[in-house]
Parts: sequence; C-alpha cells; structure tokens
Amino acid sequence: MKTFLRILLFIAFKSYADSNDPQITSWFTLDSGKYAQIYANNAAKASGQTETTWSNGRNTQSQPAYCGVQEILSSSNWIYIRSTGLGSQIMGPWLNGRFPNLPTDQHLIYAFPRHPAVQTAERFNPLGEIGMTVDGVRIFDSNDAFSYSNQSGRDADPRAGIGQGDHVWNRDAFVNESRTFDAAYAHQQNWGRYHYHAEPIALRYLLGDHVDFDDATKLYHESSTPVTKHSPILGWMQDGYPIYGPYGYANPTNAASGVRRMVSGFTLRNGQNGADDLAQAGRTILPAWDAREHNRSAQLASTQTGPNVSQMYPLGHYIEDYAYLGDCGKTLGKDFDLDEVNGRWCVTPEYPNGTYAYFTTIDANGVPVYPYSMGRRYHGKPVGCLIRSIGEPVTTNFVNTANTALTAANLQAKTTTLTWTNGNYEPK
Amino acid sequence: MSRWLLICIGVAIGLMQGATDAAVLQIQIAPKVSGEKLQPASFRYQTSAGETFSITRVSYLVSDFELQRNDGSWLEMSNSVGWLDFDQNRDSVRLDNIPAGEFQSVRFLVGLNTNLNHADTAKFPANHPLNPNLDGLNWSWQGGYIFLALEGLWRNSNGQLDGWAYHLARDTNAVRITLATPLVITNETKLELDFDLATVLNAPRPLSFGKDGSSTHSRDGDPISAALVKDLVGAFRVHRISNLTTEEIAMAHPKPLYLPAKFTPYEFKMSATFPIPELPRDNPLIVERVTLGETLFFDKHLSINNSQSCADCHSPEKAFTDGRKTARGAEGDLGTRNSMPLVNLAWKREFFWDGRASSLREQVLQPIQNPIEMHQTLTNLVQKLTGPPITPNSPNYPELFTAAFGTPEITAEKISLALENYLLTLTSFNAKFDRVMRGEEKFTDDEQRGFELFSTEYDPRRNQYGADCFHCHGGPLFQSQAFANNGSDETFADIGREKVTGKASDRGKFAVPSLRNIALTAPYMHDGRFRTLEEVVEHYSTGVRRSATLDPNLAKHPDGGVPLSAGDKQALVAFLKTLSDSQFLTQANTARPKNY
Repeated sequence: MKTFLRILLFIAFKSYADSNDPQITSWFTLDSGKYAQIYANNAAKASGQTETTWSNGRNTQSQPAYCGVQEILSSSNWIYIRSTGLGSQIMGPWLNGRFPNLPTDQHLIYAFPRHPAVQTAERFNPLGEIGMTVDGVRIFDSNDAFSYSNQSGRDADPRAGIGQGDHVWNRDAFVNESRTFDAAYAHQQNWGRYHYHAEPIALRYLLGDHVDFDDATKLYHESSTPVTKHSPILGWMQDGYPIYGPYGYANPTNAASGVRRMVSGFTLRNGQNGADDLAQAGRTILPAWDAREHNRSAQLASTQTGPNVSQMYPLGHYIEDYAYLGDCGKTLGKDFDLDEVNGRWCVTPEYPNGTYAYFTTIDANGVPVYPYSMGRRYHGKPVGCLIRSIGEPVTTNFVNTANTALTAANLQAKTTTLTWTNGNYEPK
Repeated sequence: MSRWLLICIGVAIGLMQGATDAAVLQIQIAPKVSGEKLQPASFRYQTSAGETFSITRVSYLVSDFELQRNDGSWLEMSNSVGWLDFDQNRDSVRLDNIPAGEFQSVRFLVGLNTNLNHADTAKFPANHPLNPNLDGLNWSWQGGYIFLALEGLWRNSNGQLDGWAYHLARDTNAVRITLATPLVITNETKLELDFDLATVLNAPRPLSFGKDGSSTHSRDGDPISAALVKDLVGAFRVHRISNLTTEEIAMAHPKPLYLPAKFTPYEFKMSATFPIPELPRDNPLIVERVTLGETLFFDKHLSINNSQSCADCHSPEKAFTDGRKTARGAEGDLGTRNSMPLVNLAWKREFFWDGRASSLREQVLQPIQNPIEMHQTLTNLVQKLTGPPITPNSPNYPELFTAAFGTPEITAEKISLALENYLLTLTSFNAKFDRVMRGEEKFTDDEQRGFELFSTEYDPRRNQYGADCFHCHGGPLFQSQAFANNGSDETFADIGREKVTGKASDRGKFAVPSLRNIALTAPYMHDGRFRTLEEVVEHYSTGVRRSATLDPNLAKHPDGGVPLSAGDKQALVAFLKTLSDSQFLTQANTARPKNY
C-alpha cells in the first residue's frame, strides 16, 4: 500500500521542476534494478563467474541486494539518497579472495544539503567518508587512518598494539592500500562498507568519462583518445558541492574554452616545482598547508619527526609528503587549476552560471594522484551525513521499481462475487 | 464461450454519442511485411543487418480514435480502444454511433493513454479489449499494458535459432498515428489499413537482433523501444475504403438452456485482482446445477466398471490431480499425459494439454468415453443414471436433474452442462501469496527473492537478471498465455497442439498451466517427467532444448536456459510454494459428497 503511494508520487513528480536540478538528476539509476555481484577470486574473474550472495564468516550477504541508488527523495533543503552502497560494476576480487572483508548491503540514507554554505572560521577535517558517488557508493578521504609512531619507529599497527600513531605523518590510503582494491579502486572495511579512495574509474566508464574497459583482463584504464568532453558529475560531497571527473573547461569561466585535465595544486616534496626536498632534510618539517590547517608549527619536535625517506618509507607514503604549489611560488589559475581542497569556482555543463566544484585528480598517464578527490578540508560546511530515518515530508524523485514490484497491488475489496441475476452475471 | 462469439463481441467498442444519423466505422488492420500479407512463423524475413527471422506474434492495442472534419476540427472518440491479434484473427475495431459525414484524416494511438493504461484491470467486462484475461497484454504486478508485442525467431551469427521479443510499453511510448485520407462515412463504412512490420523493424531506425538486442521491455532509456516508437509513426497506411456489405453481426445473448422455474444463483467468488471471466450465459451458474455437477464428479458409476470417478484422477487433496506420472484408467490402462489440475478453469478457453476442447461441456464427456480412461458410452451412462439407484446410498438423479434443469429427463448434454457448472466453481485465490498481496502476511526473504526473480526478465543487455517466469505464468492467475513449447524436447513423440490445429508451427506446444497450487500437483509437465519443483526450475535453467517452435521468450535465453545460482533456484521454489491454497483444498474436500 505504501509502495503504491510511492509509485503514484513517482509518476506525479516525474515532470516536476526538479528535473533540472543536478543534485537530483545526476544519480546513476540505470542499474538500480540489478543485483550487485562480486568475483570471489581471480579464477572466478577470469572465467566470468559472479556471485549475488556471499559470506566469509565475517561479512555475509545472504540475499541478493540491488546495486547502489534505490530512492531519490527531496525536500526544499535536503536531498536524500537511499542506497545499498554496493557498486554497479562487478565488484572484487580483493587480494584474490584473501582480503578479510567483503561488501554488504549498507541500507544507507545519505542526506545532502541543497543550499551549500561556504565555511568561514570553522575547520572540518575529514576522516573516513566524505561523500557519495552517483552510483550510491561511499567516498572515503585520502587518509587511511594510520600514521607514523615516532616512539615505535614504525607505522601504527593496531595488531601490534601501537594504535593509530602520532597523527603527524599520516598515510596515503591510495599508496598504502591500493593492493587491496578491486579494478574500480574500491574495497571495504571490516563492516562491509564498500568505498572509493581514489577516482571511481569503473563508474567513469559507466558514465562514458574517457575510460576504456578491457574485456579480456577486465581492467579499466584511461582512454588514449583525445579528450573532447567535460567530465560528468561523479558524486556529491557532504558540503553539497559536486565532484567531477578529471576533465574541466580550460578557462573556468568559459564553457567554449575547450576541455583538459585539471592540474592538482599538490606536488611531491622532492626539491622540484619550488618544493623543499624531504630526502635531504628528513621528515622534520610539515608542509605549510598542514601547519595552517591544524594551526600548529611546521617545525617538528624530535618526538614528532617521521622516518627518513627510504625504500620502506618512499616519498608519497604520507600525505604530508606533498606541498601545496601556492606555497611554492606558483599561482592558482595560472600554473595549476585546483586549490588546497582540490576544487575551484567554475562553470560546468550542469552549472552554466558557475558553482564550486571538486575534481578527481589523475596524472598525465591516467594514474590517480594526491589528493584524489578532496584535500584535507571541505570548501563548504559539511552538514551532509548519513541518517537513520527521514524526519520531514519529501518528494519522491526516483524509486527502483524492481524493488517495489512486490506490493504494487492495492486491494480494497478482497473478493469479487459474480451472480447470475436478471439474465446477466452481476459483479459485487 | 465460442471463439466466434468472443471475437464478435470483443471488437465492439463502447462508444455512445447518441447521434441521430449514427453510422458505423469499422477499421480493419492487416499486418503486412513490405506490402505482402504476413506469413506467420515463416522463416522468410530479413533485417537490414541481413538476419533471417520469423514473426510468430503480433498483438497490440489501439485507442483514442479521432476523425478530422473538413473544417480541420477533430471528432474525438475518447477511450475508444481495440485489441488486435494476428494469431487470434482479431483484425478490426468497430466504432459505433459516429455521425455520418465527410472527414479528411483519422488518427489514433498505438498503445493507451495514461488513464486507460492504469485503469483497474479487474473491472473490465469479460469481452472488453482491455480485460487482461482476453488480451494477455497486461504487465500485472508491474502496472500497465504492453502496447505492442512482436515476437519471433531469428538465426544468430552462430547459425543458431534464437528468439526475439519486442514488447513496447509505458505511457510515454504510446505512438500517435495520423493518416490523411478522404473518408466519407455513410451507414456502414470500412476503412482498411496496412500495418507494415518491415517498417516497424527498419525505418527510419533499422533494428538488428544481433546488434541492438533480441528483447526489449521498454525500460527507461532503452534504445530498442526508442527506435520502435520512431518506426511505428510511418508503419500504418491506408489500403482502401469500402462499405460493409456482408454479415451484420447479431449480438443477441444466447438463451439459457433448461433453466428451471425456481433456482438459486450461485455466488461465484474470486479475488478482486482477477479479471472478470466470461462465464457461460447459456449455462448460468446456479446452486442446483453446481450440486448436480459435483455429485456426478465424485460418482464412480461414470466409469464402465463402476470403479472410477472423475475425482480418482482429479483428487481434491492433490489440488485435483492424481500424483501419477500419467493417468490410469478404470480398467488399468495408462494414458500418455499427466492429469491436469482443475483450478480457475473459468479463465481458460481451451481444455486438455493440447486444447482440443474449446469449452468445458465439450471437454467433460471425453474422458468418460475414452477407452483408456472411464470407457463408458454415453448411452450406457444415461441408462445407469436413469435406472433405479445402484446402491442404497446412490443419489436420486431424477430429483437432482429436476432441480437443476426443470425436468427429470437425463441426457448427456445435461450431464455435461452440470459438470461444466461445477468445474467453473473451482476457484483458488487464498494462497499465502494472496494474503501477502492483501498485506495480511509477509514473505520470508527467500520467498521475496523468488518473487522478484519470478517477475523480472532475464536481459543482460539491459542489466536485468531475473528468472523470466512471468512472460508465460504472469498475472494474478499465474498463467498468461495458452500454449507453448517450453523446450522439453528437440523431437516430439507427442506433437501436442499440432495434432489439433494441423499447423507445424504448433509442434510440441502444450497448455501453459496455472502455477496456483503447483507445489501440490507433482509430477510436472504434460508427460509428468519431473518429480519435483526443483527439477522443473532446473529445466528452465539448464535443460531447455532448442527446436523450431521453442517459445521466443525462452529461445532468447542462453543455451539451456536462464543462468540461476543455487540460491536463486531455492528462492524460486520457496516462492512457488506460496501459491498453495489450503482453503481451496479444504473446501473442495469438506463440500465433497461421498465417493459413491
């Protein structure tokens, strides 16, 4: 009965003015009626054997769950996305089936503000999830929550009883964890939360954002053809601003200026591009952006220094191994495109009048580079978050009808009786 | 319940304008392929990509006819609707009571407007073109009608026979057809149109089964349905205009046969989700006749040696089946086919596995006379029932016949009418499934998954990975098409429907059974080859065999059938078990007279 109402709402609002709002229209719903699938291991991937239910003892998906976005709901101030949190691409395998975690249906309701507010004095440092891609999967930040422990002389390891470290030299998740990613650059933590740490390359392929798929290896890679299109919206951050793929307009205010890869504002501290050289100086000084961010001195006490650059701790191992080009004598908008939080004000196909927008960052070879999706801070107030239930009247903009087919019947009369009366079968 | 009557009533459109000089316009539409008459199931056509194909089904809805007067204004006949079906010989829409006059064009929708498409399907009279039991075009749980169903077979690039099924549906895909033609409507005018299927598959947007896909269910963004919408616009052409000369169809209701002066109308109960069935007007359901029919059904004296009643092969405990692979007759002979369950027969138009009887009254006398079944001549039977009671407990038939028919005279015809009355009352609609639909119970996770699989297509190109059961077993009756070859065999010891129609295109086709009470009616298939539901599900996953008449909805799947995981199969079986209606069994059993 409830679903029937939802379907009515769905029909009634299909032609609503919201049909022009990218916060409503950018979600990827083509696969919402499809069961999420995984490859259990490399052999299964090679033979094309997929599973719709799985368990490893710790994470169990005993019934098939649908892919990603299941409902889009809205009010005047909020967009609500119901999602399973599972990708549309065939997920996995992770470490050839030896990774301890498997993804599970997360039953997410993500709320995003419709009117983003730029933050002023407050600082919001991201940790863990920072937004959601348009296929309904979580975006995690660039940090993997582990850092160097000066006292132990090694990276923190909860299993060795060292906790999470000093929070001074923080590990780059893509660099340190990517061996546990699947072909979509995603994996899940111990509660089955499937998430991206870098550009969602499989989603970009589904959206036609200059990515090719090799059917033989089942791997994605950046297309070698010339870039001709502005990237689509890949997701939304908790502050309500969109994140695009790597390609934006050459001139941020001119949609006719051609498109090119957005150049990140970060550079390795290797003595080039005006940055200092950690291999020479050791990890004794924090980058200027980090000192600003945490309102602390860049010069570290001896109890805070990191390990010397080595094969075990190469440059790029920690996110503090990067300097912001704006602190290295370079100019934003001239020498590079994206600011300290990895976005810029610009026009886009969806926002011809301009918006603040984040961009995913890749290098000239198509490899993800720091800061991947967002810097160490949001541009706007990150009031968006996961919620348990929706506490206000909403408009239904999308419902996965495969999911709702079941209760489509709205039976008021349970039985019809036909009786032969006056030469006819009369229903009652 | 003759086919002829159905067709005649079905084409009449309820359109009342009350004009004084009312005329009739009959619009007759002939499916053609490149100007030639459509040759059904003939492997003779080619797509623009060079694929050879056949067309086995052309079934569609047309509606909202309008005529343009010479001053440019339109005469609207809102909610006028017709169902046209090549296989069923339905080719005309009759617009009654329209003002005579001159017009310059006609336009109509292929499909339905939003109101009609979402109307309550259970409210349409038995002969209305939108009665789902008649047209077989309702999506049931998914809402709305299929506007156009085109199906057939094609030879794929591996040289293999494959199925194609294009089902155009959804409000936004209704296509308006406008045809400019001078049209003078006098008393009875006939407008003949051609519907060119070559255009539908070809121009302006050519479709290839290999490149574009062999099926569409018109989900949002589906390129095949988008092409069909474009191509339909130019697919209709005016063939000629003439005056109706011949048979004026008398639509008089047939008179009830042998209606007694005093009778109690039988209350025929059914789920409010069921379409209204066409109950026989010449054999009204009355309590006295149902009682007589029921008595006969359980009477062993209907067989030659008084050893077997109808209920021996159609036992209420087993949802009116016998649990045997094939039926066993009164004298111990084994038949070749599985005893069919008797449930919701009011919605069927053909009976037996091959449909050789087109009414129940025709059907019921056959097992009585069949030498390997009850083996009784009708003369003998009438004599037995007319004579003195055979045992002290035997029913008093002359009395029962008097109550049911007005006179004590016993004839084979009256026996058949009484049995027809009784069999029509065997309706089942209170399974767990129905209670879930009414919100009184909940499915388990497995049952829910099974239902979703059941009602979702298998179409990897559109990312749909269901089990695709609903195409043949859809709707509240779980039975939406009459006969099909379900891939049981490649060559046929039993040719099934072909024996009745004489058409090679019907080879190996058998009645599609309702799935209600299916868990109680093992073994399965026309020859009882499968012992369990698990085996049946396995068949549709790995056992489907290709042949020329394999149903297109199965032929479009990979070799063997729809790929299903062990969990999927288990879920489907769990769902099928929710279709068992214990109340139906109990009622039939307690109401049941003694087996005389």
